Amino acid sequence: MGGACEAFLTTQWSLIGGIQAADTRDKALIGVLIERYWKPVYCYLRRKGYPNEEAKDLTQGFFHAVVLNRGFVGRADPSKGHFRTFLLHALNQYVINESVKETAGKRIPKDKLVPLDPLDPPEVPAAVLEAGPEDCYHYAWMSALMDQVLATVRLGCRDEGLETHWHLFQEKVVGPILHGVAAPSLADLGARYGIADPRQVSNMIVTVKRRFRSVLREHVRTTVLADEQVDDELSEILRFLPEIAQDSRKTRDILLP
Amino acid sequence: MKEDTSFGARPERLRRLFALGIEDADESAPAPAVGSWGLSAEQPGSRIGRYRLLRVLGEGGMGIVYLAEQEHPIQRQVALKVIKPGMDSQRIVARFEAERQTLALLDHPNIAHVLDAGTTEAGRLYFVMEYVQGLPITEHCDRDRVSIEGRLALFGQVCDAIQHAHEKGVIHRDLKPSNILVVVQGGTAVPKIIDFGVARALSRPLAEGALMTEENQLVGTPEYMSPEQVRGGSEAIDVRSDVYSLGVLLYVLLTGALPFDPETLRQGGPDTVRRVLLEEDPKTPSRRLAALGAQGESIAGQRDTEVRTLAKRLHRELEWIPLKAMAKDRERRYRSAAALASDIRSYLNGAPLLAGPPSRSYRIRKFVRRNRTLVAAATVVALALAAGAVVSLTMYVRAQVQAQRQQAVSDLLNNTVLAALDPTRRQGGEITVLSVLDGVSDALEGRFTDAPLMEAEIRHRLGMTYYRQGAHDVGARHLQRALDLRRQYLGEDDLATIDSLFELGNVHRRRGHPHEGQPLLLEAVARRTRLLGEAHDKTLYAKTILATNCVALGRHGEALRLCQEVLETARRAGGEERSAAILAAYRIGTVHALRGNYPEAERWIDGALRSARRVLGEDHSWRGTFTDALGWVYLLQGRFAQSEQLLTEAVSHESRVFGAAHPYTLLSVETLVGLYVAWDRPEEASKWRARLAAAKSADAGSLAGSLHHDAQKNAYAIRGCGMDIYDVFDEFHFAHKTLRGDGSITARVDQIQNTDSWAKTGVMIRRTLDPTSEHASVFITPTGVVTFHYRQVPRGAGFSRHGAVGPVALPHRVRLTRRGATFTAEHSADGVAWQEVRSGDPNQSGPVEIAMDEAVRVGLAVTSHHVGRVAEAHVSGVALTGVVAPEGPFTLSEDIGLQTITPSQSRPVRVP
Repeated sequence: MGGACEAFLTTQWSLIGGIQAADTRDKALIGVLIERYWKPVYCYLRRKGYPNEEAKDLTQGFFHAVVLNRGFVGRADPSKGHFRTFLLHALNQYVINESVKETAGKRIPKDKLVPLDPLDPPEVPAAVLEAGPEDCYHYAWMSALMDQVLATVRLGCRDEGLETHWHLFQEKVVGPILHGVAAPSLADLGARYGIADPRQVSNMIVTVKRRFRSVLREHVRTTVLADEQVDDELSEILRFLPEIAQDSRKTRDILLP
Repeated sequence: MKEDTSFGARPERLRRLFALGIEDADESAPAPAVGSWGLSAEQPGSRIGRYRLLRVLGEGGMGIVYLAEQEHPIQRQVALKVIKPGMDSQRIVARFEAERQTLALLDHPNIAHVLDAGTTEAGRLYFVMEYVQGLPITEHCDRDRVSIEGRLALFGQVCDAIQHAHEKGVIHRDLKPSNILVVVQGGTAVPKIIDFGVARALSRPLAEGALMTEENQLVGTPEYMSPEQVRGGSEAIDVRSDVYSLGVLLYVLLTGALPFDPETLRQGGPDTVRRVLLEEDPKTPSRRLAALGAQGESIAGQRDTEVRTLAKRLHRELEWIPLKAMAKDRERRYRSAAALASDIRSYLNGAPLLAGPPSRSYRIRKFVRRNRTLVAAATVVALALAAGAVVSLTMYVRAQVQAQRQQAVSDLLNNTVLAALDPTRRQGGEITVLSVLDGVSDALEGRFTDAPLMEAEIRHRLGMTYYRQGAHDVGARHLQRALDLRRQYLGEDDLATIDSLFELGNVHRRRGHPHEGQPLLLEAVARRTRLLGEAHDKTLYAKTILATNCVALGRHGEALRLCQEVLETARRAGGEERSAAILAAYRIGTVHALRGNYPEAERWIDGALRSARRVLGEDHSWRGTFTDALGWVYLLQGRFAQSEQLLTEAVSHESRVFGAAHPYTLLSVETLVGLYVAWDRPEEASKWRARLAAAKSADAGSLAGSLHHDAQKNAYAIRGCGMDIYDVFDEFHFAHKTLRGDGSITARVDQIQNTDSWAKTGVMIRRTLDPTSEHASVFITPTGVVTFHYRQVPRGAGFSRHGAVGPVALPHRVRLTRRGATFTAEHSADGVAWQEVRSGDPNQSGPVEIAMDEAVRVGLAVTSHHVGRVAEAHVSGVALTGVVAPEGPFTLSEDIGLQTITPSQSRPVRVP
């Protein structure tokens, strides 16, 4: 079982680049994991009922445990090879262990932890909150992933001088989807950005869209064990997301007297 | 442009982003030729979003319906309706999106789902619906010559589906045959209702159900529109509007003709429509049929019967049903689609109907009008009987065999209750329940000195009745006296004594003195457990009330524990349907809400509400309270449309059951005001607040607040009025200065006068002067309860923490400290030893984080918790630290709250 874990961590690790000393390396790895994956873990813990401070502590403690104590993760149930579900199983295990440890007072002391950015607790929409902690985790994961993808695309465009491309994509595609409003027409956008031909506007948007697509696949790739699993994971994400609204309905109906 | 984050986006939207990353990037819409911008590009074969249009299904007043094919992620056929240009698409899509969450909850075999909505490239609005291949229900029935029984059966299914939607909080608003299609599946006819939510999204926001759209086009189908929809205006449309439409549909199914002539309606325009629908009574179905003459034969044929048989069936009972559903006064209609369906079934089973012949109700109405005083008198006597005075007294008297007593009792009733009704003895003044009670109360004095137990009994009943009318202080006095008498003459362990003990504790809780109530309730629970057993209804009920009192004290954990015990015990004793268990479940829900755990709260309260309605009945008083609480939980989650539904239902229920000016009703009205503030609808908020002000008696004199500084004593007298500081917005008077960065304010509260026990005064740090702004405050009430109030998000829920320590004596000191974004609340009796204002719940204590600007407002606040009355507080020893301007004593102060907002100038609120 350590194999899959190693593989994942190596993939994550490969994103950072080489650092020599062992403990700096571990610390850097923890830092990367936290930065990428703290939101889903935190949301899971909050939804489980832990208040803000404790959830933060546990989040940090968890990532430390994952990296420093490979044996701990090894006990987690090997999933199909998607890091997302893999981490959740490990998290489940961790929470159980921690509630045992709490009485023994054996947590990692606070000053030894890699710091968690003191960001505001992220807002999870009501429909998601109605579902259980695990669904919150998955939602937060997917949303954090999407944010990372958008950020990568945005920075990539900026680095290559394609700022306008990005803005067009943002206004025509991303913004309207996120806010649920009508997109401006190609003609309007063209007028605002000084591009005469709406067809050109359309092409510029398509360029970014292609890029978005490949970046999304790249990011998902780092969370699975093989190329073939990327589509699998994406399909799972698509299947999961609308299901949230339905799941909560199910739960309520079961509980009605 | 600010970068968007997908975090917090609704799952469906996040999904669309992912879907974007999967679909073939080359397939995005090719840029059409420049010349066709703005014109309709929707032709069969073209695409809208991810739908490919196949052919036109039909055309209506609002737009065109296409049959379309969806490709991603499932392949299926859908009905896609493109709305005419000119309707404000963005706003309507936003409104529709707001409905969609609710619509997603609809899951019924007879309801077609609305799947999606959006705007086309050209900016036109479209809806995507489940494709239903079928005929309008009226056509189907005529074509297949469906019998009356068959039609009723189909109609019953439609009612069930509508009931399902109503239970989920969705009203159709546009029910008509073309929206109810019948599909034949495997030989069975299945009705499917389409177009949910569309009518609502398209109507003008403030004039719900108004006849006109923005373009002055007739919207809706006047033949099927309920009178309240036609009237428009501020009346909230409720489920009975759909019931009306169902009534019209039934009428048509039975007689083949509309109740009102459609030609007259359409040609006459909106004024004619209004007049006919609001004032004219429809012809009864049997007469309508008779008037049709020869056509009646074919109509009967379509119902597989003869004219004569049909007329007879209609005339006897069947026609009452659609007429009742179509009553102009919605109070007289069926209360719900389920009630309508139930009467249909009763008819088919030969059972008696809820609907009566029209003439009977007319006769009853006439009788009431002629005999108003008699009816009123009968009501009051019934009330006295309900108060139990006569029943228990006669029982007691029988045991005593004292003829004299009997005389005394009937004298009492004669002289007081009935005399209150006699105009010659009354000396003007209204007959109100309270005045009758006052009459009885006065008459009691000195009458039963030699029969203390009878006095105790009467006082107990009287106290209870006062309490139920909302006169808590008076009720408490009577109950205290009853308790004293019973303790003295019956002893501590008598069940009657314990009854008074319990009721008194309960009243103390209700009047805002939970600390006084707590020991009484604890004792009552202990004694009842010992004497009646833990599973007895009265023990369980007392325990639940004790839990409620714990909540009032801020001891949430304890309250939960007690309620869980009640549920456990009830379950073990084989009945969760006992009222104490229902109340306990509700209580658990409200505690979760107070802790911010909204999904749990909703689950518990919703469950309790359903149980209450099922087990205790629709008109039980708890229904209003539970509905209000559920509406409040939705409000806290930002589900405004659903919240509005429930809160208006709660208000109407409580108005009916308690009275429009009853304190419980007004509490719900307050929540409703909070909803409209949170929803950014200042006009509606002001309107309801005005109703509040009208209901609560307003004293003469100025209701504006003021500040007066006594330089010699360095003390302030600050006066203010307002609803409260809690929940979505605040109303109070504020004396303030500017604070930059960290700092603190300390003050000594000496006295609070002329108030409600929930009035409060203290110190506050506030981000802006807007009533919905973030703030942190430390307050004291006249009964010495110290609280830490705060709001962390503008227009968000306000929280408070009660001191876990018992009430303090005035004068008492409070202090609020700001360090960065952390606010700490402390209090002290002597100004030397300070302690944090602790919550009764250990999970919720300590300082609070609120993000504010560097420059904030700091100062003294006072609110009366009473829309019509001013409270006055005396405060001294005010000390400020930090960079505060201006120097010197407070000079600037103002009223903050909705009472200073006129509808035309609502203050803009920063949206989080």
